[in-house]
Amino acid sequence: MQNIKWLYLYCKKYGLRWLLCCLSMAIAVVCMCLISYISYVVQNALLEQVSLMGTDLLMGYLDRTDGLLDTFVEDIEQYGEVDRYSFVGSDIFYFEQNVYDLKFVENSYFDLYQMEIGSGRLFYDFEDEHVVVVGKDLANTFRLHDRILYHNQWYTVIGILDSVSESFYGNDNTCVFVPYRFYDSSHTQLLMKSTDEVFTKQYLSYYLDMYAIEYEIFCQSQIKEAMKLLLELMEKVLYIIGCVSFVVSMLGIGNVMLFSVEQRKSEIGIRKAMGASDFSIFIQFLLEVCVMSVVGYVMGMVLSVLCILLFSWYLDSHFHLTISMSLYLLLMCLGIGSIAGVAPAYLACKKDVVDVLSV
Amino acid sequence: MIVLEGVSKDFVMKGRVVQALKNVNMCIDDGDFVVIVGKSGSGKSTLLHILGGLLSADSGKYLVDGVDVFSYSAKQLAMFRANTIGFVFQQFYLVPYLSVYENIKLPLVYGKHLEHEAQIMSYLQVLQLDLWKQHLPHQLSGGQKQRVCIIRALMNRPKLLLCDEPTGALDHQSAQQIMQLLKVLNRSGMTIVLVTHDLRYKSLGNRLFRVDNGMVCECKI
Repeated sequence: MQNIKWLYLYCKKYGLRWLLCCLSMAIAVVCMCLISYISYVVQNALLEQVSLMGTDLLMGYLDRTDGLLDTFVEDIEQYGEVDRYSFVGSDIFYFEQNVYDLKFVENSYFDLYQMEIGSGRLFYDFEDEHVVVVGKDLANTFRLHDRILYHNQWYTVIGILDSVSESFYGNDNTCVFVPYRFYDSSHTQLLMKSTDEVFTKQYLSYYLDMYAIEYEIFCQSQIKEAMKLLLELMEKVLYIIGCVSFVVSMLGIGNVMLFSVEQRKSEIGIRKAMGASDFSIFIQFLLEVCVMSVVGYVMGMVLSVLCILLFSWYLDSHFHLTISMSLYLLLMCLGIGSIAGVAPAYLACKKDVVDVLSV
Repeated sequence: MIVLEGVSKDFVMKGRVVQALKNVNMCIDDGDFVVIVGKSGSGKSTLLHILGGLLSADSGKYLVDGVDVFSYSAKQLAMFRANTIGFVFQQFYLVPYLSVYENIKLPLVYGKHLEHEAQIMSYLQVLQLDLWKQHLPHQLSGGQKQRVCIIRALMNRPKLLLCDEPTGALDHQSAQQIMQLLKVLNRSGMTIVLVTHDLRYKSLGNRLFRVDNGMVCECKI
C-alpha cells in the first residue's frame, strides 16, 4: 500500500510522463479490441453472404461428350434426392471494349435463385432463336431487342432481370444469360440445390463413381470452411500486427522506466541508506510498471468500448467484446508491463548506494 | 561501543589503485560526539560510508556492540542501516515528490524502532517545521531541508547518527542552527559522527579525528 501511495505522489508531480506510458498501453489494448471486433463483423458478413446462397452443390469439370451425364441426371431426378438443378457453362465476351460474364444456363437456373423478370421474358430450354437475358445492372448497357455478337452469332436480348440476391457464383446482376443448349464446350458444371447437403453429396459421389464420371464437388459447407480458414488466418495476422503495438508500448514503457531510474537514483540511494533492501527497491519499480499497465488497460478498455459502440452504431452491427478477450488483454498488459519493468527495476535495485550518493 | 580494527580500503581509479583508508583503528563510545576533519579526498567520506554500512572494507573488522558488521549479508546490512544508523547528507537527498511529512516518515517503512506520530509532530514543532509539513522539498530553504533530513534520520531512533558535511550547503546562520541541534541531540545521549572540512566545528564534539591521506589519528581538542 505504501508503494501505491508513493506512486500516487510521484504521479502527482510527474503525471504527464506516466500518463503517456499508460496511453501507449491503452492504444495497444484499443488496437486488439478493434481487431477482435472487426474480425467478428467481417466474419459475420461473409458467412451471412455464403448462407444466402442456399444449400448448393456445384459439380465441376464434368465431361458431357459421352451422354453418361444425361443418364445420370435422369436417374437422380427419378430417385428424388435433388430438389432442383441446372447445367451451367461459363464464358466471357467483349462488347464495346468491355468484358462481360456469360452464363449458359437452363431455365431452372432462374427458378433455383428465384430470379424474376423485370421487362421482356425469360427464355425456355429449347429456344429456336439465339436469345439472351441480361442482369439488372446491365439494363443501361443493353436494351430489349438489342443484338449481341458472340462467336460469330448474333443473340437478341429478350429480357432484363429484376434485382437478384447472390447466387453460388456471387453477384448475377452483371451477367448475360444464354440458353444452355447453345453451350458447345465438352466440359460443364452442374448446379444443384438440396435440402441435405452432406447426404446429397455422398449420394451424388456414389452415382458419379458408378457412372465412372470424373467430377469435383464444391458445396457450401466447403466454401464456409475455406472462408473460415481464411478469416482465421486474417484474424491471426491482424492479432500479430496488434501484438506489434504491444511491443512498441513495451519498448516505450521500458525506456521511460530506464529514464525514471536514472532520474531517481538519489532517491534509490537514500532509500537504501535508510535500510531498503534490493528486493524492496526492485518491487517498488516493478509494481510501478504493473500499476501503469493496469491503468493503461483500464483506459484502453474504456476507449475500446466507446469505439466499438460508435462503430456498431455506424455499421449497424452487434456490440462485440468478450469477457475472455478482456481477461486475455489484462494478462497481456500485466505480462508486457512486467517484462518492460524487469530490466529497469533490476538496474534500480543494483545501483551502488555510495556511487549514487557521492554525486 | 563501535570499534574499527585495522580497516583498509582500496579503490581502483583509471587502472590505478588508490588507498582510501590505511589500517584505521578507532573506538567510539556510546554518547560520543566525534568530529572527523580532513581535506577533500583524504578518505573521511569513505570512513563515514564504512561506519554507515554502505561500504565494506578490504580488510579489518567493524564491531558494533561486539558484532562484526563486515560479516553481514546484504539483507542483514540493510537491516543494520534501517535499525542502527541515521544519515544526514550535505545534499539533503529528500525525495522530491514526497512532502516534508512523507519524507520524514520514509524510514518507518524499513526500520523496526519507529517513532510515533506524536513524536514526529513534536520534532516538527521544535524545529519550526510544523507549518511546512505538507510542502514539497523544493519549497523549503536549505536550512529547513537540512532540519527535515535530521528529523528523518532520527525516525528509527538510531544508535549512531552519521553527518556528512551537514552544513556544506548552508549559510552561516543556518549552519549554526544545525550544529546547535546536533549538540542538543548528543546531550540527549545520541552518538554522533560528524564529518567536516570546516575547522571551525572541530571543537563541537568531545573527540576529534583527523584523516590525512587515508590515515586516521585522534587529536586533542
